[in-house]
Amino acid sequence: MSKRSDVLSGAIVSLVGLIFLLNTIGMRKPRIGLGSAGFPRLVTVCLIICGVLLIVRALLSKKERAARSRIDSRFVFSLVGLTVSFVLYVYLFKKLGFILTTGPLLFFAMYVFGSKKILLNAVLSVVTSIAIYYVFTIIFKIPLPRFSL
Amino acid sequence: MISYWLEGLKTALMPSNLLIMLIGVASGIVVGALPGVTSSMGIILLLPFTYYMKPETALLMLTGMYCASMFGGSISAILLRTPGTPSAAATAIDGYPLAQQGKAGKAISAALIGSFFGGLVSGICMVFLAPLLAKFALKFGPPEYFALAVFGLTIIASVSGKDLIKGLIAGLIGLLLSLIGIDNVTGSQRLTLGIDALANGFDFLPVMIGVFAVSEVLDKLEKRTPSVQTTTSLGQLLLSWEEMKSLVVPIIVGIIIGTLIGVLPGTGGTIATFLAYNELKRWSKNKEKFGQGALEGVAVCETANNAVTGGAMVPTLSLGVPGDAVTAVMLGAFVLIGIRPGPLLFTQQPRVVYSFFAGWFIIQFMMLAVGFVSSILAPNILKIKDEVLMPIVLALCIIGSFSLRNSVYDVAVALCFGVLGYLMRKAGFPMPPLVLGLILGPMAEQNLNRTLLIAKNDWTILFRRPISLTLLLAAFVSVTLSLLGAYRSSKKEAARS
Repeated sequence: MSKRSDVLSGAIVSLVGLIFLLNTIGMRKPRIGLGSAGFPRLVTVCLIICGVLLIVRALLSKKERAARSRIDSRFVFSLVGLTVSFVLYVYLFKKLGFILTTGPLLFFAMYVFGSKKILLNAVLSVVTSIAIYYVFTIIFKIPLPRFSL
Repeated sequence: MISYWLEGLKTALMPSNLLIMLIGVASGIVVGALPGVTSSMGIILLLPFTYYMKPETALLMLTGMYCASMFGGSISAILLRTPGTPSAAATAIDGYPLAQQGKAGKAISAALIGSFFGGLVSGICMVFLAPLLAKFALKFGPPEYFALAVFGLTIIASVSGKDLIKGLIAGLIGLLLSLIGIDNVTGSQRLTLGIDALANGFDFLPVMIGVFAVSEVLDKLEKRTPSVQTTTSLGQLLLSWEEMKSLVVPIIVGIIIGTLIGVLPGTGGTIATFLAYNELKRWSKNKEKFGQGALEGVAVCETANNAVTGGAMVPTLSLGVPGDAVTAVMLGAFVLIGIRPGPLLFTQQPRVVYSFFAGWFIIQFMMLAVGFVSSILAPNILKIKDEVLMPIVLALCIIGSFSLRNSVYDVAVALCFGVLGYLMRKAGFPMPPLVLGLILGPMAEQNLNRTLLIAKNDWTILFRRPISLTLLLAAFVSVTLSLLGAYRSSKKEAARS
């Protein structure tokens, strides 16, 4: 890992620890027992310390432990696209139902993974989502969301 | 006694019961292999079919499902890095690298052999040591459970890979995640940052699906390296004599730890597998092989996993206290089909008990046979191209996390942790400590709280009770040894460079 990555990770970890530590302010300590705040405070303080240690170690390190690799723009585009599709998927899952949301997500994921055969992707994503839907709802009796007007 | 055994064997060997057990075993493997469909869910799904069966027949079917689903979880963990059951999470550490090296068949075979011996020997313990083990389990109170959780947390040091600080951070993040939501002791919300949805907390399964499986899908997107599929003949599937010999120690370690952990109510297979993996790695001469694709790593996890089944049945049958979440469901199922577990079960319903004992051993052999067929067929999944397989894995991840509580929130958790897990892996953070923190966090906090409540804030209680003192000393030794090992390997590395 590069120095920069470790410094950044350490900073994020310490910040997260600090945010949650501040969130424990106001939690009352009972007379007996740890209370709600005891364990979270212990964990967040340790997290902050480890984050700082990571930063210090990275700054003191003389060598760049790995050469910085070039970021493939196509991958970044795919990752962002897939992440956005996850957000949309979660938002629409209950509204449109399992099949109407999972089919397009699979189609998009296949495309992003490099399968350019549009028709085949479409057939596979529809068949897969319908098959999964029926296996889980009929055999395993797990009610999945359905589209209804 | 012998007449009961003969009677039980006769019942278990009836053709109709053999068929019922086979159905239980086969469906158990399928249920186990599907992410999100847990062993408990499998047992619940089978329950309606058992209403019209005799109690002993119903019990045999449910037992088949219980034992086989434990093994089934390893299949998807090995092939897709998607643990089918929570207790297969540790199996993925070595199983998945083996699959990537084209040894998926061998990995599943090692898992199967481990599961077989784990189930078989823990079954023997269940039959002959039940009263003794039940007494041992009853000695565990909150201080002992807290000490056990602390001991479990020391595993973080050994599953952290080369970077101890990053491993600790991942473990602490896991602990922090386990604290978000409703505080079990006071019943109040905490650490939700004002976001209502976070009051639900983070269930273990969606987080695990996210950090292991979804992050792997994203990783594949970047690397685009096709999986190697070299298991083309039976010879490549079978383990060589040398490989078989190398599994002896892991199987013994897995049996001992799995059975003992299984006996303790409220623990379960996930803790047992990580503990067994850690102990094997600690005492192994080839530590560096672990995490890179060691058959021993797969075998120890799966042995411990299945040894838990026999161990967990001890308090379930003899005390009516479930050993883990799955046996809690089994206990409910027992009552539904007319069996009343407890000290009087052995005298009041001997026919049921002994047919269950006899069936238990037959089921292990059935699992071996059906599992062998699955180890031939399952690696073929890797023949599917990544551009088709990965989206399907993604769909299974979604449904796996949704089916837990029928909640979109869990789907969102799995997907978010997929992205987070991917970024953490890119930054060099190991994932197993995060999972460990998430599992052991509630156990550590709740039991420390209870301990302090019992002892009125007197911390010395932890050192006054022999079992908790032993466990805490073991935790101290474990950390010291891990730190020494890390120091030595960093010195070696410095000398090399």
